[in-house]
Amino acid sequence: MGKKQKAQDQVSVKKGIPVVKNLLVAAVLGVFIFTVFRENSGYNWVWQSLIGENLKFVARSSHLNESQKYQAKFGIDAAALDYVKQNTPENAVILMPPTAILMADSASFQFKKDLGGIKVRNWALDILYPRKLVYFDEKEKNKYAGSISHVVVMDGWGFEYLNYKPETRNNFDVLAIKN
Amino acid sequence: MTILALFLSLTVGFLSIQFFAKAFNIYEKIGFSFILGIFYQSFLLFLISLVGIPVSLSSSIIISTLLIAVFLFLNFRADKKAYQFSFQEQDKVKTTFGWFLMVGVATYLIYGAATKCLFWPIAEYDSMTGYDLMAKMIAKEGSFNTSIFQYPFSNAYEIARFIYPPLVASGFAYFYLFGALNAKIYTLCLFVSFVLAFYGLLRKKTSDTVSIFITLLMLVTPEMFSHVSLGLTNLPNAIYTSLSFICLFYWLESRSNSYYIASLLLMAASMWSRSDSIVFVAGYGLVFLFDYFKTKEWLKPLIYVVSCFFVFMIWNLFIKINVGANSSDFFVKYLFWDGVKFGQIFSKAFDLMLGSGTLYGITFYVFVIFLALNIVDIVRKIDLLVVFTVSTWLLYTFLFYQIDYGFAGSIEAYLNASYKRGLFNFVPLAWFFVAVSPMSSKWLGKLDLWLLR
Repeated sequence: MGKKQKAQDQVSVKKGIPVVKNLLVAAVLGVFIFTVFRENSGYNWVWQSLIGENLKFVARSSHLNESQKYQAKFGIDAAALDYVKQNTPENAVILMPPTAILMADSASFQFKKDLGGIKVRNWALDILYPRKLVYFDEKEKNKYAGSISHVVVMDGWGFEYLNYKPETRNNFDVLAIKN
Repeated sequence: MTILALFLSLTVGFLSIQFFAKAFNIYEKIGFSFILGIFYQSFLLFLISLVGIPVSLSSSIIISTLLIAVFLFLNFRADKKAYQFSFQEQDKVKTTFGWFLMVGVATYLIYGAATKCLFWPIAEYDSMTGYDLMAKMIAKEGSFNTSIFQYPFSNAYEIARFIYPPLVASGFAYFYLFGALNAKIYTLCLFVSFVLAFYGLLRKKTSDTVSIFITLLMLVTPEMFSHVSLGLTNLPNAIYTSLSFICLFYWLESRSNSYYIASLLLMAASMWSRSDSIVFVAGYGLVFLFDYFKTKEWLKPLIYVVSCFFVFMIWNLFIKINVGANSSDFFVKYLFWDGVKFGQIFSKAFDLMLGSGTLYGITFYVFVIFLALNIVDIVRKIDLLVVFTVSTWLLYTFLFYQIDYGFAGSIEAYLNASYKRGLFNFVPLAWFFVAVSPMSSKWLGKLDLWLLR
């Protein structure tokens, strides 16, 4: 673009915005966006659900704290882990029940059967960290097995690791192994 | 304190850009500030942890302050007025009604994504059992060799997320150190910066109205946009990779050192976020080769590739020495032919990109249409943007052919979970091509002048 042309462009731009042309182009762009957002299921999902519904949910759920948000997402798994977190010190090494107990069909708490949940060590660790976890099924291989300080008891399992008799035997609890 | 963390990252990045990227417009400068700043901080935190200095709030502040001092000094030495910041002629936006409309829609979308991002804690399986846990450990234990590696791992898949290059984990850790409850502020800042940088890069080649229109279509790409409020590595990786290539594209065109250095740093950061970025360096090799035949330039490409490999190797060596694992453990390390697997992977790839349009909206349809419209120019001029995009897509897809799926269940499930996210790398490139292709430049490049005349 020559200098003369550039100068002409600048002069003509300074005269003001031609409303009709601008409205026309804005309308074309707007109609395009509106149509694409309405007709394509992906954009429609973004607009309606990802943004629209989430904004509404957040507006009516602003009172939730972090652990309540986890519970809203993950239900009983998050509630159980939050209970463990509230009742153990940060330096606790916690023995967790075997998968067969956690996932039993007859268990008093029905934890997540699909991806994630209390049955997955690293998933639980993300909520409980800096506590250390020893899952019973990997007890032989876990380096922290020698320094267990607490045990998660469930449906009668785990009381045998305590060196005392607890006053109550809850279906789910976390107890220090030494009184 | 989170504001301080953000301020430090932005300042470090901005001062570095003021030093090496004088050709950048204001949108590029602000956009690239956080993107580069957090990379410098992450890399230096890793280096100090290697020599036994703990990663902590104090060390993060000291490192950031030192970086600020160094860049201030370099700026001052290069040009005493370099630290002064002023609005240039090239920064002025030619605002049209359409531009305001697109900015309004984009702002609403980003506001919605930000609200979701900051409300929900990190809840993605991959992040909870990987990057977020690693971040919490780095922040608490002050080292990248965290206690997670003391735990037994039942399979390679379980350990995979902990041996990813640590940009995202350390980005999260950085915000945790400053007391953030939700580390996803890292992803959000990165994305907002990315949108601004992408717009800044686009408006160098086309009108402001077209730039914001294309930026809006790029940012709202459904599957990619949903990741703004997630704590995963794919979106950050795509941000670094795609911006890196767009900067390289400008370097090839203008030979401006600003873009060469920016591209190199961004690609190094990409390697610092996911090891599979190696396929993009391979794609660069091809582009550099084409460029060599035209310009005989070899030193800068060599420095570029060596630097990226250095970043790749430093993390992989660290992991190999400390953990004994390697990110290449999941690959078949020899070439083989399996027609069924090949067909399965490529047909799934096409299905994900061009199937229902649910994942990527109109992105790849529009890209294919513009490829067809511009085919004569692409072939005649050997369009390096197309060469890179198509060759790296082929390489990236081929990478999935080489994976040993013994650990992942089925190919279908793995591609659904993993391959589709890697396609984020190509979304900005596809839209960039649509905006700057010869046909678009011819018909839309001067739209603003016409609208304002």
